[in-house]
Amino acid sequence: MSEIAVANRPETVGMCSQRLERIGVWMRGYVEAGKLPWAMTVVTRHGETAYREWVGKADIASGRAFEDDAILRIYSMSKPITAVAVLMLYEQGLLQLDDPVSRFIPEFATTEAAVGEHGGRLVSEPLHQAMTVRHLLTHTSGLIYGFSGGGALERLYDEHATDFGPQDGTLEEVCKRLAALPLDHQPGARWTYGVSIDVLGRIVEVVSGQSFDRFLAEHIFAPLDMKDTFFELPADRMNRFLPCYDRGPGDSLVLCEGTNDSPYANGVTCFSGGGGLLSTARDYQRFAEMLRGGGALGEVRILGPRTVAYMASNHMPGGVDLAAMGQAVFSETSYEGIGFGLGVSVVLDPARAQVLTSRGEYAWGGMASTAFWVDPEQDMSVVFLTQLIPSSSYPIRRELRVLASQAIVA
Amino acid sequence: MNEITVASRPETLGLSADRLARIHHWMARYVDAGQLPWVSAVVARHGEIAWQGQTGLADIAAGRAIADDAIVRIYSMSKPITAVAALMLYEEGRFQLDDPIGRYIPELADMRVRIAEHGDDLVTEASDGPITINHLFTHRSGFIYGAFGDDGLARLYSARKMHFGGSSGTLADQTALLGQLPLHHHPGRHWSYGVSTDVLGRLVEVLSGQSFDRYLAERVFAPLGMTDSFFELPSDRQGRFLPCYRKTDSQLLELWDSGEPGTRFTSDITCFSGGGGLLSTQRDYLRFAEMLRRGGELDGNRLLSPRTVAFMASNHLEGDIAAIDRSSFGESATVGVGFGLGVSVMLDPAATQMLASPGEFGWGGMASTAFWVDPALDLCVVFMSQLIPSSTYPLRRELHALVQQAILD
Repeated sequence: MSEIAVANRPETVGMCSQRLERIGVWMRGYVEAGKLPWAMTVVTRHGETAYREWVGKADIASGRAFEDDAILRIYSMSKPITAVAVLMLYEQGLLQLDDPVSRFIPEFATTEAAVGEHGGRLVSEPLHQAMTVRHLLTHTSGLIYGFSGGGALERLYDEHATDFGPQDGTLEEVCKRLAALPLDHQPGARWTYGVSIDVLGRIVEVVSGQSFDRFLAEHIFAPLDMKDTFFELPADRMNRFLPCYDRGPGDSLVLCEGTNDSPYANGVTCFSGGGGLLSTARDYQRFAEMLRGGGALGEVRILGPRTVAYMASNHMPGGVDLAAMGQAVFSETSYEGIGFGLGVSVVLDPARAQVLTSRGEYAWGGMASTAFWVDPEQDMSVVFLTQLIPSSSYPIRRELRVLASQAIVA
Repeated sequence: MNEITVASRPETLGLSADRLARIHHWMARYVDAGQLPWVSAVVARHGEIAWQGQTGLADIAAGRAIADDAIVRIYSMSKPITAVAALMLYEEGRFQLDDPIGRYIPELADMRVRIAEHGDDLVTEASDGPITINHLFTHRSGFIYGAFGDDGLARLYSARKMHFGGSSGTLADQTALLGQLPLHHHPGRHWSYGVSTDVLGRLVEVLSGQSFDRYLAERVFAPLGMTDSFFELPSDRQGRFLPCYRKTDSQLLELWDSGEPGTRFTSDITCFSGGGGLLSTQRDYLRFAEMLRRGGELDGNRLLSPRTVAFMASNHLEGDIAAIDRSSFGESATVGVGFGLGVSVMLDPAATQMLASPGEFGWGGMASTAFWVDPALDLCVVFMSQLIPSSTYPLRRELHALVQQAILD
């Protein structure tokens, strides 16, 4: 299928060239300061690419320049893809938002919620209401991440390898181990970032009868021509795969994961819908543009427009923002003026959020500082890529929202 | 540069000429009663001037009539200009609204808050959070004006001459001094009118590397063709500068500042007060207001993007000003009125009891000047006089009704 068109001039899609170039100045600032190895931004408006630039080194040690077809870890930007997969089944009447998760994964029928600790052991109680598909899509299930803190429950996650790492076993196996651990809180009580979306990947397997990687490949990646998106790097694409860096002392870059030795390079058993995908700027732009287009990219329809709008609605009880749902220790969004839909954050009030963007903008990011958002009001999508952990190192997303918004002049 | 054109007939812009004439009668009543020295106003819609007029004496003692090119003290109408200057840097990604101001002005990093007073002794505690740039834009920092209060903190401001006066050293000096005074309340808790916008002027200096007057001259006034806006009156324009009057208990119009050579705005300005230090003209300020109405651009020169102007004109408070007001003074009603980034924003005209449009934004100055932009009606209004204080007469409420009643479609 055809590539996304590039606007002759940004002005033809209502954007100012000179103002867009501020994005380049900003990316160079981060790279030249040694804070990011490289950075790439793609801005698409009215379906045409208005800005697509990159700067920096793919590999600092070897000095190899970054190229725009690089394959990289999108981590939690896998989540919106998994949400779309679930919603494709939802559109076929194969599952409902209020279905108990135990309908698909029976082990969750007896899962309890932690109420406190006693003598170093977690005390739990039965659930007041079942954990449902909606709780998973909106991160209100009570499932957490083991790496997100040092509490007793996090230690249990570590001991039982329930963070859905690439070599942690199959989705079925990890879900069984996970169901034996208590939830952090009663389902629906709070917003808590965790492995909820990974459990949805298993539900896709159960409902579709396909392994999750096959489902994504056949029903999303092939139709959208996302040819470099997968859980395990094919051997013939190793030369396009990049190392990932940690933020070191003094804002330096420290190698945290190479390429040949990456857990994504071979032996992937667990298809983590919450964080396991590799992808490219081109592929993720196609995914984001499918959403911006109301579920269709060109002639290919993945979801109906009403489903995408429903996905991008605030599903928090009473329409409140995330700040009112309890502060999470780690995630890929801020909380004031931001709500949560089905697998994506949703801007409720840009003034409360203190960032120049649109009401209704929906988004997510990955822990290697990648990000994307779709702004339905402005008919725009933005994809930002780099490879630096953690994403909280710099206010990249706030800054890029301002830079993209201020470039819109018509 | 193109001057803003005058419509052949107001009716072409959807306004009634007969009804607009009521503005003149209203102005003449104030002048004839000896309540205002002079009044001037301009109403523009869809980018053309629908009505403009002035009446009265520029200088009562000399008997000189007001002219339309008069240079006046706009005082707090400097604030929206300063907000635009800062937002231009925001658009370049130079700061974020939730950044602590202490990151850029270290003297404001660790503030104390006045929690009680025993005579002139102030009891203080450490602030429970930093002052953010958002707090400065929205008057939630805890900074106040000394001149408009009578408590110990206000007296301390007055005693330290903490008002960013034109000859009070530099912006850097005044900002450093400000860091030594306690706040009126913890940052973010309340709305209190004060010197926050002056601090934004200093922020512009720090981020741009230019003095604030140079920055405004190069990046705001020159592109907009605002040829008579400045902190210090050039000597060749002395003849167009007017006296300012005040109302006292015994006199309707007492001379307050003659504006003659050697007076406060005419020489030796070292402190460029973005909160209240500018001189301007009705023509210049209309150009500024038109830039905002057009979404950030005038004459092909773009200062801000349309989305940034819309963000500036959004309510950044949780409710109206009245819900969190701790001010003794301000240039706006507070019930039904919210606050954006440097401008008031009309939320509910019924609650405010003023005929206006939701989404209208603007501000005024203490010498009874005012402006507003009404995006719903595609309208701008600039009103000028020179009488202190602005609370003397309900001029803004009255002019709102007079403008609105003239709109027929």
